[in-house]
Amino acid sequence: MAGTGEAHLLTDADDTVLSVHHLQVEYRTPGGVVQAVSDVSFDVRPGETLGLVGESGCGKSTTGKAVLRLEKIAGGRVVYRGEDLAVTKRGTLRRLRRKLQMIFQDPVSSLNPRRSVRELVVEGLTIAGRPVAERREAADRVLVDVGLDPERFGPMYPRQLSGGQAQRVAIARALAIRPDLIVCDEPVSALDVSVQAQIVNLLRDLKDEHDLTLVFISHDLSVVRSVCDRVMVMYLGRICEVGDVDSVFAAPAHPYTRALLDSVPRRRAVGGFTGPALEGDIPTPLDPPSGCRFRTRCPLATDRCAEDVPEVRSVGEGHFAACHYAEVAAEAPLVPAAV
Amino acid sequence: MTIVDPGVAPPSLPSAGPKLPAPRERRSWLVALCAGWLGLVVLAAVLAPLLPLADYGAIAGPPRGKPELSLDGLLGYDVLGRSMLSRLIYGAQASLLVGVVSSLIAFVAGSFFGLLAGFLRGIVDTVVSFVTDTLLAFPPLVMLLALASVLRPSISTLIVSLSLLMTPTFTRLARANTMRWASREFVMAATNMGAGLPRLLSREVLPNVVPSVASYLPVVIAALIVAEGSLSFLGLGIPSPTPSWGGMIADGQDLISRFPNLVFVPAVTILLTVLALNIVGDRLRLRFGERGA
Repeated sequence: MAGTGEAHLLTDADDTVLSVHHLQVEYRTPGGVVQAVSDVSFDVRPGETLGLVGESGCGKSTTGKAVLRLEKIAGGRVVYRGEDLAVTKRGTLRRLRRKLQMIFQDPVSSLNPRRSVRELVVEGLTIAGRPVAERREAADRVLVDVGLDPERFGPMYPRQLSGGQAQRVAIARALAIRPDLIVCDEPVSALDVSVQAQIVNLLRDLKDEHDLTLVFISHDLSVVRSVCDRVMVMYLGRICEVGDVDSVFAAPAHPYTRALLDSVPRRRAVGGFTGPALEGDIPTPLDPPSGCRFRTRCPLATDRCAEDVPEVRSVGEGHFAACHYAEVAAEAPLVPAAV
Repeated sequence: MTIVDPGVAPPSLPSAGPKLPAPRERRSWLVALCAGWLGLVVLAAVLAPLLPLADYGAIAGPPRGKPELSLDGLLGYDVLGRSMLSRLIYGAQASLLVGVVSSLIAFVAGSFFGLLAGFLRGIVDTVVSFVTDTLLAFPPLVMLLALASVLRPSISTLIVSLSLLMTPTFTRLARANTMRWASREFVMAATNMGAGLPRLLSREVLPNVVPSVASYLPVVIAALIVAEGSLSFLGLGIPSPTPSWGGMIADGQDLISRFPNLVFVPAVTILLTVLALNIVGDRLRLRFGERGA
């Protein structure tokens, strides 16, 4: 797997809110330079929810942050409505950023403990220098939007909130400046399962009410399946598979996607998992495998996978995969290498 | 959306305000006693000119006179016959002034440098950390002696040297705390909402850093009161005739075997004050120092 190439991008740029081309993000570590994201391209269409899926360390959060330029972009372009955020000037960036908001994984860490909820939710308006009356009105509006009573929760401080309530506040804060696109970075991973459903439903409702476009980063496949229109699977900083949620989940074309889906527990208590577990650990990003980066754990890997980096190619209507053997992977039942 | 989770927050929570439920206060009578002593010292120092005391420079009784039942003679008289009580109270002015002002200067300067170094990292951090480590590598007394030999002795030069001595400590504290808070996601969220560097530093990071750094103030004030005493002992403290606690000890040291109260009175005062500052400071640090939230 090593998704390079742009076959899956829309040719008409007018149809996209955000278009990412050959994005690269690097970290300098004592062990050398790590490419957290290498050569990732994707686009986000107006009004859709795009899911970014992969195990931890695959670069999905980094991709989300780089899109908002919260990470330094080492290469590539991030085009938001015709403007390249990767090279844009500070002032323009500040203006554009207000249209691109983010919701973080840890709701408690994403709220300044020294501000009341009422101050927190209108922080964007305060920074923009809006008048007090407008801020007060906006605070009431967005708190009601996310299902929190402004009278009761407005004067509270973050440590007085539960995880779910704190995440609602974070969502309200993003909403208050009327964004176009919200990157949700594992927004429910830190929450109890019962609260997860509430937050997922809330995000879905708000998306419809406010004409939002969402990029939804998660390692939880069931959550992704229920909220996303399209999904992009990542492994070690590269794309594996992109496509409509239904076709990817129904007929995964990349061995890694298959493995991910196989590792979901069966519904019966004694059923075990739906398929064989993936062998081994994710390789170190300091020295990623040559060719396809998934080959060290892939049951279908051949010599070709060590040499050629697979390009993203069409494997069906609105469904793309970066695997030399996508057709085989899609049809043959996967036999794990070890059994 | 309707309100979906009424009653999720425990009803016992206070409805407003950033107050934490107070941690179980242990030995709070001791802390209260210490705070009381500190209050008394500060009050005496501030109100000294209004008290019916003899001037600290005036001869009020016999040289080395024993304590007697009068206001001026309550703690006896010093080598020249000046009132010990008067000198102790006016000495509190100088000792506290030096301790508090130097600590505050060091606190402000250290917070400033630490905040910049911890937030900006890179070259700023390298430079600040290098200077900090260099200053901390000097033995404090050697540094103070070196400074004292260059600068003309006076209260203000003493304050300058002592604040220079403590600035690296506060810089380190502020830098470590800044790094802890700067990586929090709310800072990233503020960046993403268009906040510039001044706002990020002053509104997002600083309010979280100040309580933990400031909770070290009492301990540092105590250390500086002792440092002033040591310097006076070496003849490099607050120049006479202005009384200071350290100066009083230095004046009485030759006669300690025959007239121990000349030394013990200021020494015990320093001891009690430093002890009280440390106990109150420990309590403050427990309360504010490592609070995560």
